[in-house]
Formats: sequence, C-alpha cells, structure tokens
Amino acid sequence: MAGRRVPLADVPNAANSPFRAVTVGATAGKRPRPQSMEQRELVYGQPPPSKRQVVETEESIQRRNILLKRVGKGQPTTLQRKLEAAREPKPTQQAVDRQQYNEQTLEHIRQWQNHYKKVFPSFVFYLDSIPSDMKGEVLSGLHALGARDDKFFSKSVTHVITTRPIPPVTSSSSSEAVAPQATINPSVLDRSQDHHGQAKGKFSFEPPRKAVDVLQRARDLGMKIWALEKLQRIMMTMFDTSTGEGVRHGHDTRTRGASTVPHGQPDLSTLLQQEKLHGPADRDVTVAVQEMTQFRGYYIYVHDMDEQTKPVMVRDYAKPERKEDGQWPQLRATPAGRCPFVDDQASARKLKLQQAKAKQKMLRDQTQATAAPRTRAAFAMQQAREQKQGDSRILTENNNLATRRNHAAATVQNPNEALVKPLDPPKTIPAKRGSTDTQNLPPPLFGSAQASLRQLPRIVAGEPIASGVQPSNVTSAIKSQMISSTAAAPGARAGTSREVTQLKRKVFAKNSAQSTNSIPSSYMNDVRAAINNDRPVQRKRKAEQLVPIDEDMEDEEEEVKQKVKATRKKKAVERELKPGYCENCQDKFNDFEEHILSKKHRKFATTADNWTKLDQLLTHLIRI
Amino acid sequence: MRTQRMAHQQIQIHEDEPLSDENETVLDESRDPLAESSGCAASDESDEEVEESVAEDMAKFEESFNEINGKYRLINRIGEGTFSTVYKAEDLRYNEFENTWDYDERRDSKWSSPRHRNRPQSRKPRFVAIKKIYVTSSPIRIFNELELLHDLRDCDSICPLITAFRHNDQVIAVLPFFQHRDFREYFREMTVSEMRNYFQSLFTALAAVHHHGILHRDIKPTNFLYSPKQGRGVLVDFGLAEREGTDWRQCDCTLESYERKSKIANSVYASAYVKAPNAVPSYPKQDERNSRRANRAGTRGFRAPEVLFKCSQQTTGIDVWSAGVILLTFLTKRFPFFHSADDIDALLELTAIFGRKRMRDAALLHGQIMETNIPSYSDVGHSFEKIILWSTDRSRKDNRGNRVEELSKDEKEAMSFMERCFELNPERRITAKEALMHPFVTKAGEESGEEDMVDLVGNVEDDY
Repeated sequence: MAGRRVPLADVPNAANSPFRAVTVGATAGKRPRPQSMEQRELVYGQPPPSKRQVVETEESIQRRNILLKRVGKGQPTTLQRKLEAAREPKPTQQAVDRQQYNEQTLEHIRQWQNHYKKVFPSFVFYLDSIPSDMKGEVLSGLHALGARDDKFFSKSVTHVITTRPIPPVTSSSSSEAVAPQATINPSVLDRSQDHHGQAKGKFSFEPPRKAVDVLQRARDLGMKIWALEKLQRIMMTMFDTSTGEGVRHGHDTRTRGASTVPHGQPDLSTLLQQEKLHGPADRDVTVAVQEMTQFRGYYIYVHDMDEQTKPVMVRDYAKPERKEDGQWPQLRATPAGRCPFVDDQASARKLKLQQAKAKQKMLRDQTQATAAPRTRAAFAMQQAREQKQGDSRILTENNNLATRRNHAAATVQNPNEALVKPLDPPKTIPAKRGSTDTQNLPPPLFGSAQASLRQLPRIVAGEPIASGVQPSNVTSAIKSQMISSTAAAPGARAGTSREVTQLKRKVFAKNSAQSTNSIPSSYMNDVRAAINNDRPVQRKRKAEQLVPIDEDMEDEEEEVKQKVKATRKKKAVERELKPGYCENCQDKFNDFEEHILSKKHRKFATTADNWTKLDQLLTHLIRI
Repeated sequence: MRTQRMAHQQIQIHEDEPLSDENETVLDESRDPLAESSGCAASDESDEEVEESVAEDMAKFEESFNEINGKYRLINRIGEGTFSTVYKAEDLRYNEFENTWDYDERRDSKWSSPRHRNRPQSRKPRFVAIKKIYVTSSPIRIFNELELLHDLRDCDSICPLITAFRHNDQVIAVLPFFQHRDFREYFREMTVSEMRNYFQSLFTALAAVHHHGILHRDIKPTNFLYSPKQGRGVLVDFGLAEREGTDWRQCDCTLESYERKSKIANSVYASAYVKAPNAVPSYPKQDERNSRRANRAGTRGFRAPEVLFKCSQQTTGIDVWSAGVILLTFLTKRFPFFHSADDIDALLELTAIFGRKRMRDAALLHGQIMETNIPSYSDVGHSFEKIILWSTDRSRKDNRGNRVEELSKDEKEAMSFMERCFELNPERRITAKEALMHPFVTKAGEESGEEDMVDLVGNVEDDY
C-alpha cells in the first residue's frame, strides 16, 4: 500500500500530476525552494513548541513583507505604522526591558550573525535598481560576506535587492499555489508598471507579457526580495563585531539592534531551526551546550574560528602541583647534545648512577643479612631521596623528575603489571610518569599521543634498552614497526651507533612475534609493540638492579616460565610476520609475504592496466 | 637514499576518509629522525659483515627479480622503511652506459687529462643504491616519486635517478650511491663556516626543487646526504614530495590581511569571545563535523607551523622551515631539537620558543584559534640567542647579571638567517632562492676568520 503511494509523494511536481497543486500547497506553503522543504521537514521533526514557532515565523515574515512592501519607500500611512507596531510588539518590549533581555538579545544577535555568516556564501544576489553610487558599497559588503552577485537575473539568484517596493506575498501566494511551472502565467498579476506611489497591487488583467518585472518574477520563483535598507541593516549587524570590542560592542549591537533585531529575528529562528536540522555538522559552539566538555586542567585547544570543522588539537593536561611536573613539552636542562624537550635522559643517566650506588648498598645490606624485604617503590623512592640530596648540580625540576621517574618505574615493576598480556588494550599502558596525575583525567582521545606516544617512549627507547637487551633476529618488518612507532626516538642519544639502534630493534623483534593475531592498524601495532616491550625492559632492569630482593626471586621464576614460552613460540613461528597495509588492495594484512601472494594482490599485480601510466614513465627512464 | 615510506603514504589515502582520523597522527609520520639508520652511510667495514637475515633477504630478492642479475651485485642492505628497502650494489655494467648522473666522474674527468679520461676504468668498482619499492605501494605513488625525480634530474644537489624498471608489481629504482657521513656523527662539531657550506648545498637543492613547483615535504638531515669532506650533499627521498597546489582548498592565509581581519572579526569565535572573554573553552564530546583536511606528511619535529595548523594551501615554505630546524640543530648542538611525539607536542614545543602570542597569530592566519593556559609558555617566548647559549651551556652570568659568553659574529649571522627560515607566516619566510643570496650562505667557501678568534671579536664588539 505504502509502496503505491510513494511515487505520488515523490513526484509532487510532476507536470501532469493531478495531485500537484495540492501537494505543493500542502507542503511548501509558498516557496518551492529547498529552504522551505527544510522547514517542512522541520515541522515534522521538531517537538510541538518549535513547530509553532516556525509557523509563526513564516507568518511573521509574510506579514512583515507585506508591511514592508506597503510601507514602500518612506510614505507609510499612520495606519500601516500602527499595524506594524501591533503585529510586531517584541521590539518595543525589548527596548523597554532592555536590561532584562540583555543577555538573550545579545545571544540572539550572535546566533543570527553566525547563521548569516554561514549562509551568506550560498546566496546569489541580484541588484535591482540600486543607485550606482550605492552599488559598489553594497557589492563589496556582499563579497566580504562570501556571497556572490549576478549581473543578470536568472534562476540561480536567491536574493533580489531592490529600492523599489516589494511585490506582496499575499497576492503572489495565489500565484504560487500554481508555482513556477504553472500553466497559468503568474505574470498575469504583474504590477510592475505602476510601482510609483501605488505600491498596493492593482491587478492587471492584461494578457501576460514577456517583459515581466524582475521583482515579480523573483517572487514567483520563490526568491527572497530584500529592500536595500534591510540588506544594509543586515550588513551593519554582520560587520558590527569588527568595530566594537568587549562589552561595549555588545551594547552597540543591542541599541542598534532595536531596529535590527526585529527584522532579523524571524529569520533567525527559522535559520536556527534549520541549523538544528543540519545537525552537528555545522554546529555552533555558542548554541550547542549540552554535549560540550569543558577543559579542566591546562589545555591546548586549536579549533576552527568558524567551527566548521573538528578542532585540530584538543588536549587537557592534569594540573600538577608544580608546573615543572606538567606533562606538556617544556624546555628542560638536558645534557649537551640531547633534545631539550625530553627530560628523560638526564634522569635516566642519573638513575643508572643511582642504581650502581644502590646496588652496592644493597649488596652490603645483604651480606649483613639485615635487609628486610622492601617494596620496590620504597626502594626507588629512597634512591630518589638519596640522589636528591647528593646531586646538587642538577636543576630542581630535574631532580623532581627523577623522583617521578623512579616512582613510575616502581609502578611499572609491580609484578602484576609486569605480566600484563601483550594484547591488552592501550589503557593498560602503564603510566610511565606522573601516573597519579593522569589517572584523574578523562581518558585521552584514542589515537592521541597523550597516553601512548608521548609516554611510551620513556620505556621503550629509554636508557634501559640502549644499555643492552640483546635478543635475536631483526627483519625489516620489525625494524619498520619500530621505526614507524614514535617510540624509538627520545631515548636515543644523538650519535647512538647503528649497533645500538639495531639492538633496540631486536627488542621489538622479540616481542612482535607475539602480537600477530589481528592487526587493526599500524597504530595498534605500535602500541602493542610498545606494551609488549615493557616486559623485557623490566626484566633487564630487575636483573641489573634488584636481584637480591625476595619479590624478584618470585618474579624470576615467572620470568623463566615466560622465557620458555617465548622461545617455544618463536620456534613455532619461524618466519616473522610483517603486518602492513596494501595500497593496491586497500587491505590491511597480517603478513606481507602472504599478502603479496594472495589472489587479490596477484590479480592487481598482473593486470596491465594498473601499470600503463607508470610504464610510460619507465620508458623514459631506461638507462642509456 | 632513504626509503621510509608507507605510514605517511597511507595517510594521504586515509586522510580522505573521515573515519581514519584517529590514525592520522601516526600515519603521516615519516620515519623518526633518530630511528633512521642513515642508509647510505654504510661504511666499508659494514659492507663486509652482512647479517645472515640480510643475506637471505638479498638472495631472495635477486632470485625473484631476474633483471638485476648480471647488472648489479647486491652488497648489503643499507636502509629500509615501511615502503621500500635500499641496497648497496655494485654496478656491474657501469661502463656500458653514459652515466651522465655521475657527478664525481664528471668532476674528475674535468680535471684529468684527455688521455686519462679515455682509459677504461673497469678496475674501480662502481656503486649504486637500489631502492626496492614494496609491492604494496600503489603505482600512482611510485609514479609520483619517479616522475618528480625525473623532473629534477638536472640538478646536482638532488640525487638523480639512474634508471627504474618494473617486474610485475615489483618496481626498482637505481640511484647513485652517495658516500656521506651520518649526521649524528658531525652535527656537534660543525663550525659556522661548515654550516654555510651545508646550507648552500641544501638550499641549492631546495631552490631547484621549488623552482619546479615541487614541495619535498620531508626535509631533515637523513634526507640530505651530506659529505662534510666534499662540502657537498644530495637531497634524497621524494616519496612524500608533491607538486605545489596539489589538493589545495582555499585557506585564510592566502587572503589579503584586511579580508582576513574582517573574517576573523566576524567569526563565530569572535562573537563567542565578545560574550565571554575569559570563559574556559569547551569542545564537543561527540564531534561529527568533518576533520579539517590537509596534507601533514612529514617528519615530526620538522613540520612547519602551517602544517601543524592544517593549512590547506601549503607552499614550498614548509621545506624552508624544516631546513631552519636543521640549522637550529647545528647551532644548539642538539639533535633532535624538537621531540614532537605528535603534532600537539610539536606545536607546544614551538610555543615554548616562539611564545603564545606569535603562535596564536600564526594560527589565526589559517583560520584557527589557538587557546592555551599552559603555564610554562610565556607570551613572548625566548630569543634564539638565549636558546642557543643555553643549549650550548654558555648561559652563565656574572654577578651583575651580564652574560659571560656571547654568540660569535658568525653564529649571529647564522642565527639571523635561521630566523628568516622561522618566519611563522609562510608568506614572509625566506624562499630558497632568496636564501642563496643571504650573507650567511653567500659567504660559503670563503675562508672566514678563524672561529676561535670570532668569539673574541664578538666580545670586544659588545663592549662598545
């Protein structure tokens, strides 16, 4: 049943449709333009109050237009004035209760401005009988707002600006019922000849003529017709922001708004409704409030000034007690040759010294057999304390960082965390530093570098690796994995030898074998590789530093088990998988070798058409 | 011959899909500046020791690609990335070809006697770099890189393409093997006069690239193979390069400044600001708007601010910026200077140096509002003089608070040149062509006053 109805609904304007007039009348009201379609949908889509508003708006536009038209160019009758005043009581009231409505009004103006700013570029203006001295000004204003002007009147025009009286909507509404493609020529109603003085439409019963007045034509085509004054008011309001500043500006707008707003407002509300219709795609920050997240800490926010696109950068850093503890990049005193934005190296080096010192001390303690089992955290904290007292040459902020680092190290070394499964989601990435700070924050956007990229490197390519885990083979895949991961960078001291770099790769090699299940993206690979990497690093550190501690003995048993497991696994997977993305198949793959032999890929490779353009170039590159 | 393409190349594809937005950060990253082993740096001793896995790999390669047999003998794998692998190879049939690409040969033969020139030089092994482009790269991408290289074939500062060929989906590019040193080995010892040579060579290359309307997009030390001994370098890896104007969409930075001002004044932000100048900003929780689209391919730490702000009309100026970063590395003797784990960090690092105000202005150029309350950054940032002194541990002050050490005159000249590369407004940034006329560069090759003396001169001058 419904199926049978659809065609009718779909083709309301089919020339011969008996439903045509009805449909048009029922839906579009008066204008068969897209805009009115939107409004129609909106009527259905919105809760009752909005609907009412829209209806009112429509009416008020019409009414106003009539008034405008009737008022003509400066000789309004007293009756008309009264009428206008009666029909549009808002402005007066607003003027009276100015203080009270201050905020609302301002808000409205702003919304109105914003909206117009957005829609203007889609407007095409046609200037009708505008004095030439005004023309330039008007045009430059239009262009500044992104609109276009057409020298010739055509269907593409959306707005006609005129100094002449505007033909009434009421009369045209009858003609519009028959709409543009009507068989009855609407120009029957032409009144263009007598616009001087006698603006009120006299119906002419002359037969339709070819030379139809532009305004009437525009009306029939559903274009908007604006009096020049209206356009000027709009532009004045649009450009208003530029002149005013701060609060004063607001007042300006408002006082001028006494005249501006009432005319703008009906448009505003329809437009606002439309905006709701468009959805968040052209969301306006000043409008939508409910789904916003406010920054809580120290933030960096880079966003489009017109809110047309997603923000380019959004990050909220926890507020540390001291700004030096902040996790955002800051210039730090680092050893010569090293990146001044990475605090890691200095502390890492110190850590090493400490460790050596601590090891001695621990050995001593152990031989005396007096050492009570301590947590690593306590141990690390103590190291930090010792170190803090000892080394006075280092800047305070670095001292502090050392502390944090040790603390973080303790967190990581917690046996439970150390055994985190390789494929756990990124949230399990142990906080490398300032762990307590981050926990209070809303989870970082996935894919932002906040949690992973910026922190992972601390461990992955931190000093521990450089000083020597040396697992086995490396392939290009592993290498590239490591390379594409930002993880590799910060630790590496400039001047690090190739060998050392390769050692780092090997760390990855060892772990990547375990992470071959499903590879959603290279990003995930990086994350995983980095996560995986935590283990050997810790292991090594443990071995180096904390052998005598009881906890570690337990750990080491586990470690042995794991090692066995790992080696077994490695034997099983003889050839390492190289995950990646194939541009030609537009597929992600788990294994390069496998993929390039796949049917799909072979098909691409052997289809000559794919290579014709490249081959043409290659003929120029033959060696001579 | 750098090879690391893939990740970022993926990006370019992905960036058109709104869904892949979250991957962006990683995907358009060229290889990390530090992670890269400097491919062609392979010195002789490393030729000897070929890892087993590499040997296997090479054997497999030769087997699968018959065309290289008899023409080239693979020696070692010298670089690899996600989109290609580079091998050092001996060019077995060197003498059968014209070899106009061989700069060294041309130079040598210019000075040798005709008799000597005619003598066949078969004894000397000739090396090339063979770039095996992974079959997962699209033909369009490969075409792009090879075509750009072909366009640039006549510039000595750009690594020329000797030849390229295809077997099914496997494409091989043969490039000269350029003997150079790993940047990390020498950047801390660079004197200013050596820097002049370096940048003369680099900017000669850039001027040629830009003259052809091409953006390299990935200027960094590892892509400029420099031989301090020869005082000459070649620009490599055009895997990210593109023609200027590719995929441009109007960006506010191309507007006249008054137009831009009016746009800014009428922006949504401006009106929101008027309403609540001190409001803490908020952002949509679930943002369904499109991402701003812009090519961000490049290497972290070397991206120009307009790349970070996603300018949609990026110019050759982005390469000049990256070159400036290299100079900063030399002057501060820090590598990498910028850590830039991601674009946000990159921007904040720039903010730490340039200050909030200038960065805000730079953002506005591209229609972006930058708001931050991070306390570590001042409004005006730091002068480069201060940063250089600080980075090189020369920032001590005497009792009266005066600096004990100063930048040398040469350093100051280098610094002023660098500042021209670091114009935040790409339009005002020095162009490669102009750079070649800057005193810092024009004095290259001159026997400048002994570096040691310059310090004294600098101090004396400051007493005046």
